[in-house]
Amino acid sequence: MARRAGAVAAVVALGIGLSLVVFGSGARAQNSESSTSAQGQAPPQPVGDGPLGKTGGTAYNDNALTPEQLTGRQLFVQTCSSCHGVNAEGTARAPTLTGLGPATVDFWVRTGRMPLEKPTQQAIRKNPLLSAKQAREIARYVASLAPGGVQIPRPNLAGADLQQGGELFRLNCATCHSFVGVGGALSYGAYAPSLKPDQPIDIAEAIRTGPGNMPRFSTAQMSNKDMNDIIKYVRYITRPDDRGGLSLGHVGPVTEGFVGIVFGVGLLMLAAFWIGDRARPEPAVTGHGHE
Amino acid sequence: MSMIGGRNRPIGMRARAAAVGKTAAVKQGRDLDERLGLAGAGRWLLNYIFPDHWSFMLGEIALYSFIILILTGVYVTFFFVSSGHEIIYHGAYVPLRGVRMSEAYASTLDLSFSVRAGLVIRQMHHWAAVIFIGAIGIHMCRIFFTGAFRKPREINWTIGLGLLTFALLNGFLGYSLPDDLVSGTGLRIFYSVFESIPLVGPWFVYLLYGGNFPGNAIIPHMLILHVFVVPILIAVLLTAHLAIIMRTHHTQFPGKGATETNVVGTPMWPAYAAKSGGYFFMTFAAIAALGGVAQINPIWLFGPYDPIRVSSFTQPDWYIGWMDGALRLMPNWETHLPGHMIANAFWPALFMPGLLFTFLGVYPFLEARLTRDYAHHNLLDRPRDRPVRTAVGAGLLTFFLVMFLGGAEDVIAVFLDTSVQAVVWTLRISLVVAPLIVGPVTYLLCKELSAVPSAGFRPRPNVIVRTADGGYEALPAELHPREQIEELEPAPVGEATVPEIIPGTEPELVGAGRVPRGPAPPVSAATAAAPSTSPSAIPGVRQVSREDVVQTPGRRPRGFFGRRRGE
Amino acid sequence: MSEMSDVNQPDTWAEHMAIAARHPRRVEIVVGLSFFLAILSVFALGWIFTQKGQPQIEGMMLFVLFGGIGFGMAAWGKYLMPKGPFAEEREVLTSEENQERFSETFQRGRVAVEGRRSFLAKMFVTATGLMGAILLFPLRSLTDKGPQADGPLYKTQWKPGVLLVDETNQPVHIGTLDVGGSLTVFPHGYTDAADDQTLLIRAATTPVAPPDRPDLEKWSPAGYLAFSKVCTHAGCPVGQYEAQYQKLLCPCHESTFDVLDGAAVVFGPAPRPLPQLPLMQDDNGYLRARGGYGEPIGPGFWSRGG
Repeated sequence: MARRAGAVAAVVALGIGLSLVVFGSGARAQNSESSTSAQGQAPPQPVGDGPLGKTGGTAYNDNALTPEQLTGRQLFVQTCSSCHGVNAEGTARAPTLTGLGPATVDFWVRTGRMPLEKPTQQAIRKNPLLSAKQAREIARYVASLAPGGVQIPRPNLAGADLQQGGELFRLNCATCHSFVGVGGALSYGAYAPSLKPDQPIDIAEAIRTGPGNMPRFSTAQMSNKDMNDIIKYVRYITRPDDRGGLSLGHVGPVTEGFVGIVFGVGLLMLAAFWIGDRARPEPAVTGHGHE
Repeated sequence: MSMIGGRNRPIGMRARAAAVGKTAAVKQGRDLDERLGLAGAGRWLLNYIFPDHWSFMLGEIALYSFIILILTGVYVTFFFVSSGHEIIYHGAYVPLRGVRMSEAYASTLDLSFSVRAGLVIRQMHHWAAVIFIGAIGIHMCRIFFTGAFRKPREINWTIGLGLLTFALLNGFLGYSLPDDLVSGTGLRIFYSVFESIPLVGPWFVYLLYGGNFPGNAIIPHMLILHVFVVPILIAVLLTAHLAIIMRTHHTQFPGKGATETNVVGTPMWPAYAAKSGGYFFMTFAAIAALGGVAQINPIWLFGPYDPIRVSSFTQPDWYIGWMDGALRLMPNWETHLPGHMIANAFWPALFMPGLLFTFLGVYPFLEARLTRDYAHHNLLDRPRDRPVRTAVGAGLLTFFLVMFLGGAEDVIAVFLDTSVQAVVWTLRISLVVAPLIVGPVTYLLCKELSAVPSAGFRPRPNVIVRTADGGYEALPAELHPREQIEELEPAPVGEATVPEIIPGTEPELVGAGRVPRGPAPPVSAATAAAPSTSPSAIPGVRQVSREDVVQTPGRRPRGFFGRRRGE
Repeated sequence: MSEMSDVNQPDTWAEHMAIAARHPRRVEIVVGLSFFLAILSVFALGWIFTQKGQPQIEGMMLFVLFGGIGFGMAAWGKYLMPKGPFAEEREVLTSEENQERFSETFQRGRVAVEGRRSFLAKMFVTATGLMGAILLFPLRSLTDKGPQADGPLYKTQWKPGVLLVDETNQPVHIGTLDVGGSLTVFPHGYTDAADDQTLLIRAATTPVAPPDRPDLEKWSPAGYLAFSKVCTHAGCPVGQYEAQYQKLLCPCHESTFDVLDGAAVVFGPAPRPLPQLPLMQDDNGYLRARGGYGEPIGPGFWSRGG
């Protein structure tokens, strides 16, 4: 969400502030329940985030790995295994990763959505803990555990069709991410994130793997050309041609109405206040009581 | 400046220039009067008194926004193609080239990107609509809370409500005309809402849309409604609205010499014409600034409408937001009758607004009946002195506010990082509970405030004096200067602004203070040009001497321009 | 008052005719500057128009133009014109004398109209009433275009055996969607039909049915489900498929439908589940409709049935 829109919405929402906090926290508890059940997890519990020494007892044969996979395995054990299990088989806290393919793992780790502090929250984009190279190594390692899954796509914007991308974006993406990719609300506290920070590879991986609540688009449904078109449009529309002036957060009439009332009608009321008279004269500056 | 120059002793260049101007004006006025007999009514109009209080200008924002809407609307209509016919776009906006879209959408793109000043005018048109309806709402609040709707002005309140209704309708039509993805979705909802009308719903939408949704006729139909039918209805109602104001004169706040039988303020000519004309341009300026600086309805980012496409954050313009909010907050009930159905959308989007507007429309008559108050009222109430009315108004406003928040419920949920479900349930409960809390609390607050004369100001200290025999005595506190009603004696209008009266054109005095209107008696050129008579011959005015003025001590001029008040 | 006498000739009404400004000279300068800015902005606007225009500068120049004129006028009126206050007596709106005269006149006319010719008045009323009725008759033509019982308000183009195609008229194969994918589909040959739009979802790899209707598994080959994309609340396209929660969400009014429970409403104002389109797989692996929708799609209306 754009900050400006947020600030405006904050003022709008002020009137329901306290009660919303009360209800909101109740709903949050409900949310976590629904999200965990959807993932087939046990009730949430705090997770240690350090590289715990949980590697003992594994039967994995390190000697069969390439050097790159070996690095990937070490990274995985350090950062992922506490929830996903040493062999990515999944635990009560997090789903299995075997068979997902490298694109999924690469997307979640490289965009900083993983590792997650608490498994109950919706993973948000943040500064990645690991570099893109390390993410790739983990992805390769996880992919080596089981065949199949989605391979890391290779978006190529050369020759991509911006106009066709727009048509596909409005059909498949705008429903959740809104017409300019600022995101939007989903059920039970989930939301579609803003697409503004996404690099072409992020968008491509999200399209192909369908992270979280996002539907996934197979190559049979959406060709690589369509994918490239969409990426080109996303890159445009998240930095759009705002030749009308200030964007007002790109959330449409909500902020427009607010600006119109506050800065339009409000300033005109001040002007009327200046032109017209007030009901009472200005208060006199006098001393205290009887003197 | 020249108008207030020497009345009896024209001195110097300025005064001479004023005299020349006056001669020309008199000649033109005479020419017109000999043909149309307008001098009597014209003089009445020039002397018409407008109250000075700033809140009387709120309606002017709406009036001037409407004028700006017409001016900018004519311009954008020149370039708009009202057709749902689909073409392939080859215009200036690259990201949509080659995309299939309606001619309406393509022409709006061309207006925004290829027409001189097209974008700024289009944005001004849209901002003017936003401000127009906002100003109507705030103007209505002022009328409501001060009791300005009471007899003899009940009809004008109801007409004003009709104006609001048509303004809402025309705003929605204009918002929908460009046929973009956001407004097109609004049209789909509009269709479903009107389809839900019992008995005639489906027939009505088939007529409006030219068949099943999306139909092929909705855009041309909307254009004729938006630029012809509804504006004419608005103009007719507006004329009646203003004519009734002129007939009944404005209400006014008590104080400064205002009574039930007079109007105190500034005459139309010249001071109010200057102030109000200036205010028109200031309204124009505010709308131009918004139109240039703040982007509104960037349809090129939305894309053309297509019934299978949709975007999150699909909201109507703010003034429809409360109806959209009602649609969102409504529980999922559907009314089943034997063999028939009243759809869910009917209750929140048509029935409830109809009920609310009916209540508002009859409120003046309702209040008169309940309070048994059928007298004429020209002096306004302070809201605190009418706690029931103020409580009802505050409760209604709260109800509307919750519905407005409901219209933005997804935006609020994303911003507060909570779930849509939580927001909706909070608002559903608030919709019922909040007005029931706000109303009574307002009532109690009003009661408290009206019981304490100096409420809101720091209490003045009592002074305790020691008497000669050794006892103590408390002297009561003085009223705060703001609490002392300032009694200014206003000057009679006719004398002050039009010192020279042309005999024969002035109305006769009939009854107590009554100035009859209608055609002035025929005036010969000789009498019209006759020298002026004494100013004291003005009908219907009181002669007041300045000695009557009660001065409030201790005031001093303030501000850069040293505006003096009542000195 | 003496300090004002430089611009006002003192007379009996001097105090009311006096201007509000304590420093009229300053005001004159400010008002003059204000008008001067407006004049400058005209030239600036002209220059911008010759340069093909720029919305932001145009808006700001218009602001200066209108604002300059407006502020100047208002300040002139406020500070340099008679400040009053002035008063006029209200006209008396009503008098019993006038009311009596009015009703007298009206009664006199009424007697003249229908006193001995009341049958004419009745004929006149009858004629005008019938005229109104017959002029309403052309509205009957609406029914020709109106919602017919077998029209699109009640029926879509989905019929048994119709091939599912996407927006580009490509048929949908059983392998087109991955689990967690969604696609907007149409009956073959009707890709423009707004009411026929249907959201195809692949919820699993094996047939899915609501818990209480296990027999509907036959509608769901290989885990494919198809629901009308027209919301039962206000007709918006229900396009938000939440793959993790297995919910469908309408972005307009946040109605939420449970994909695994026959699109039952779990939240929001939608009163009915989205109608489900029964699917089948043909011999070549393409998806076809097993039948049409069992009920009118979209929002409710009067004649839809109880």
